[in-house]
Formats: sequence, C-alpha cells, structure tokens
Amino acid sequence: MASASAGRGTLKDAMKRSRLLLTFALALGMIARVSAYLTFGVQVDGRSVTLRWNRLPIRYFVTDRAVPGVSVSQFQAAADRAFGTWQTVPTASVTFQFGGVTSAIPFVDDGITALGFDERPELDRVLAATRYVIDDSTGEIVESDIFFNTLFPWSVASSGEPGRIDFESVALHEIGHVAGLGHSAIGETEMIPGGRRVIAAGSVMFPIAFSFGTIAGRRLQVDDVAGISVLYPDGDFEQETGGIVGRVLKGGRGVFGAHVVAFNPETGKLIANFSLTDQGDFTIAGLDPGPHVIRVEPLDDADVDSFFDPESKVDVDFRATFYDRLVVAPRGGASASIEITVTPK
Amino acid sequence: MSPVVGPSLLGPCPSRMVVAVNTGRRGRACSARVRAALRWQPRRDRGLLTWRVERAAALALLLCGCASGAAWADDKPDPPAAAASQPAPAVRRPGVVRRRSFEIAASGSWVGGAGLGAADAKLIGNSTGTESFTLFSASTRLQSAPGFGASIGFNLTRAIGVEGAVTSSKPVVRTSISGDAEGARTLDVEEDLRQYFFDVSLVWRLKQLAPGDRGAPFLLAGAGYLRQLHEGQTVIENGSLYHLGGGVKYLLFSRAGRLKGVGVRGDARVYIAVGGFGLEQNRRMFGAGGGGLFLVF
Repeated sequence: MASASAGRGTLKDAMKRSRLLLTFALALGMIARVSAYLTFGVQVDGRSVTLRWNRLPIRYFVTDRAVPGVSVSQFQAAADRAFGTWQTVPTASVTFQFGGVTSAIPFVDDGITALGFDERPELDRVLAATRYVIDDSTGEIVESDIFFNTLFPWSVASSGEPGRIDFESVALHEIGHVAGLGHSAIGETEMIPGGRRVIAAGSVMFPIAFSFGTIAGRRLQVDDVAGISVLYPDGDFEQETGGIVGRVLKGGRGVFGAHVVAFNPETGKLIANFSLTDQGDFTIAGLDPGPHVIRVEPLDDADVDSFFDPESKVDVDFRATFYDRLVVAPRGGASASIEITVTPK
Repeated sequence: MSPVVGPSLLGPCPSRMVVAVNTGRRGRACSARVRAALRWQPRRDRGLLTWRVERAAALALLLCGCASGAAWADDKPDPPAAAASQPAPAVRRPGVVRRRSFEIAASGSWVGGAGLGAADAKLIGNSTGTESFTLFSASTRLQSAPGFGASIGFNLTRAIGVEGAVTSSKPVVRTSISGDAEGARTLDVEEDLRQYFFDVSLVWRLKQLAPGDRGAPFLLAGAGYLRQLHEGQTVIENGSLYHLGGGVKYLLFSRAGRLKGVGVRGDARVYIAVGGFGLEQNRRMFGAGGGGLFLVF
C-alpha cells in the first residue's frame, strides 16, 4: 500500500506531504473523453491512474477528541455538513456515510477513514492535512484521514467567530482532498512578512485559507463543482458539458505548470487547470457549452509545491496573457486545440 | 354569295335540283322547300359550320372584352372618351398589389448589433467574504453584419397579405476585456456567429398613401424563430423574435403571363429577440433594414 497526504496551510504554505508517491495525472489519455482538473495520479503497471474512490459511499469516522470551542458532537455535526455540501453537488455522484465515533486517531493505517483533532506543533503553518492509503495495484483510495491541528483556535459558530478558524470551511477543503481533488489556483495573494496572505479566492480548493473568523469558505465555487463532477460524474454531466484543450508556449517551447483559466462571459463562471506536460498541454473540462475567454498566468499566487512535486520544472517566468479569440466549448466534447503564446516577464 | 344547300335539307331532292335552283330551271314544289331551308338553317360548306359575318363580329367583340377584364396587365390605358357611349370592356388599372397573388423576394440586408451585457470574473474577497474582487472585466456585444434573405408572400386582398421570410447573417461576437488584476493587456476577443431568422409577418399596405399606381408603402408585424450557431457550429442557441416595421414596394413593370410583375422593395424593422445568445439580459432590441427584388405571380 502506498500512502500520501495533502493539507491546507494558513499564512505561508498550503501543502504538507509525507511519503507522497503521487504524480499529478492529466488523465487525458486514460479514457477517451475530456478530463481535467488537478487530481492525483499513481503509476499502475506503467500507466497513470487517477486517484479516486471506486467504492461508494465513502464511510468516515469521527475521532472522540474535543478542543476548546468544539465538542465531539459539534465536530461531528460540522463535518457532516461539510460532507453534505460535497454530496449535494447535483452533477457529482460521490456519496459519504457517517460510520460513528472512534477512538482511532487520524493518519494511522487502521483501515478506516477518520477525521479528528491532533496535536501537531511542528506544523505551525498547517491548519489541517489529508492522508491517503492507496491500493497501488489499482490506484484506488482505500483509506483517507484528516487531522485538524489543535495548535490553532477553532470555531463552529454559525456566523464564524473573530480570532478563530472556521472549522467547517477547513473541513470542506480537506474533504475535497479525501474525494481525490488537488488544489485549485484560482485566487490572488500578496506577500507579507512571514508568508503569503490571500486577497481573494475563486475556489474552496485554493490552498491558502481565508482569515480567521471568515465563513466564506463554506460554499463551493464553480471550479470546485467542476472538479468533483469530472472526478465522479453523475447523470449526463459529461454529455452536457464540454472542454477546451490547447497548449501554452513560450518562445516556441511548451510551458509546464501554467495556470489556465476559462471564463464564461455569459455566466461569469471561472474554471481552471494547469498545463501538465512539457509540451504545455492543458485541458479544462466541465464547462458549459459556449464561448469562453481563456487567460493564462504563472503559478505565483502560492508556492509551487502547493500544487506540484518540488522536482517539477514549473515555469513561472511569464506574463498573464489572454488568448486572442473566444473559444467555444462544445457540448459533450472538446474544442479544437488552441495555442497560447506567453511572453517572459 | 349563292346559297349552297346540302342534299339532306332537301329531303329526297336529287342533287341535280341544286343545279336547277342555281340556274333557275327547276320544279315548283321543290324550290319552295329550298327557300324555307335557306332562310332558317346554317349554311354548310363541305361539312363545316359557318356563321354569318355579322354574328361572328359581335362574338369577337365580346370575347375581347372578357379577356381584358381577366388580364393581369393593369397598365392598359382607360378606354377613350369617345367610346363612353358604348359599354367599355373591363380594364384593370395598373397597381403594385394584386389580390390573390404570390410574391417571391430576395434581398440584401443589414442586421443591427446589440449589447449583450457585461460579466466580471469575480473572486471572493478575504476581507468581505463576498464576490468583491474583480480578476478582470468583460463586456460583450453582438456586432452588426450584412445579411441576405428570401421571402414568399401571399396577398389576401389588395391591402392585407402574409409573408414568410428567412434571413441569414454572420455577425461577430466581440468581448472586450479590461481591468486585469495582474496587468494583462486589454484586448477584444471574438468569435464568428452564424445567425438565422425565420419569421412570419402580417403585411398591411397603405393604399391611401401610395404615391402612384406602382408604389405602395406598407407596415408589417410578426414573430418568428431565432437560431444561432457558435463558431465551429458545435453549440446552438435558440430564441424567439418579434418585429415591427415598414417599407415601400415599387413595381418596375408588369406583364401578362405567369410572371405578372417585377419590382423592388425596401423595408426597415425593429426586432426584439428573446433568448438566444445573451448575457445578463434575456432579451435585446436591434434594428435591421434591407432591399431587393420581388416577383409577382
């Protein structure tokens, strides 16, 4: 069994991994359909397999540990709301089931998916983290745990609580990881002493949390809905949505790790992905059929290792650029491939 | 002309009696019967029926008058005043509209553009918790474009008609991008849209305002179907159209025969589109105008 983890940070860093054996999979060649959104992938028999649960519902347990401001029952109720938020996405088929309260602590290979508070003073920039246990013969997630760092003050107040982190917002983000989603880069940050501060975010899966006391992270954004629907499509989602494919180039060469955003001028929706090959190939799926504005930007609103392996050669030396035509996402398919040329900063 | 009488009218009189009548040398009883037959019976020559000249002339006049009344050539002059004492044959006055006639038209047009609204790329602000941060702004417009169309109409009366038309155009959808938070340069991005109008109109001709017999202004109103195909023709938008407008027709010439006339027409109209490709508003108004040729049948 292989294991890996992903987590959500606070002021500086977003991701904390240990023993991450994953490669980010484009999944484009896996199935003859348009697929996208940043997901995790594993190598199985020489091919890249998207990390996801093959057996639903995902059964989870809540650790019987409370912290000041959050009792076990409050923890369980808030977690249940967060799971429900993902489950009620109408175009996704992922389901969850509460299994009960357990004394097991997260991040232990015990065969159950457990959520709970844990003391991690060494992770002073990490609010919470998610860890997977993967069947590396199939690429299937078989266990996923979340710990919430007791180093920080937590709140389950319905309107948030000044000076405390909103538990439900962080749980919603981490449960996205449990389902198999990676981070989204739709957001803007600024550098401050000691790290980065988020100015705005367009996705719950943005790696940096909102400030203490904010409950804005309790609501899924369009990009989150697209991601979970692409990973667990329900109904006619794949037939009713479309994708845009293309390549990001700089000086005639492909750009790896460019953040590509599709904006629908009719609905205002923002859905994004990355160029995930050395040739600069990207795919954005889950789009409403119709014309889109395409914007390319470097990954400079969070640390690169919030999204990719540290060894990845992510190019951040270029200017934000718009593609010079509207691109039409067809229903049930992908657009003709486009090429976007960016210029160095 | 000597009367010629066939043997059947004379009963048993032999043929040589005909010669006797002509020459005056014959029997007395047979000649009386022949005179009676000559007075009341049509005359035959070699088996053909021949009318008297005066009857033939009267019938010809009657036939000419009926033909004039049924003819579509309305540009025959009025009968001269000198003939007013006699019943004048029916003559149709020239006019651009003929009752119960069909018209087929082909035209070029200019379809006006319309604003489709603005939509900003919004992110949730950290300090507000609402969509208060604008990543960039976008404003979209459907540009005006030339088009071409065809129509077929039926004139119910000289004043009222119905018309079905199809218009095709290829406007450009232009989205203007500005205000990028990271300083990306502003620009316009476009796609080509193919647009079709299918509509039916009720046409009301304003005869009282007609400048002459050949010209006729008209008003029209109707509704129809809007179909738009995005670039690549992989995404289709549908909607409804409502229009109101007016124009003028002018008959260049008219003739007898199946094709009754050829003319030119021009019209302008205001459309209200409901549905179709649009942004924040679901309906928009735009104008269109054009002109072309029409044929009357």
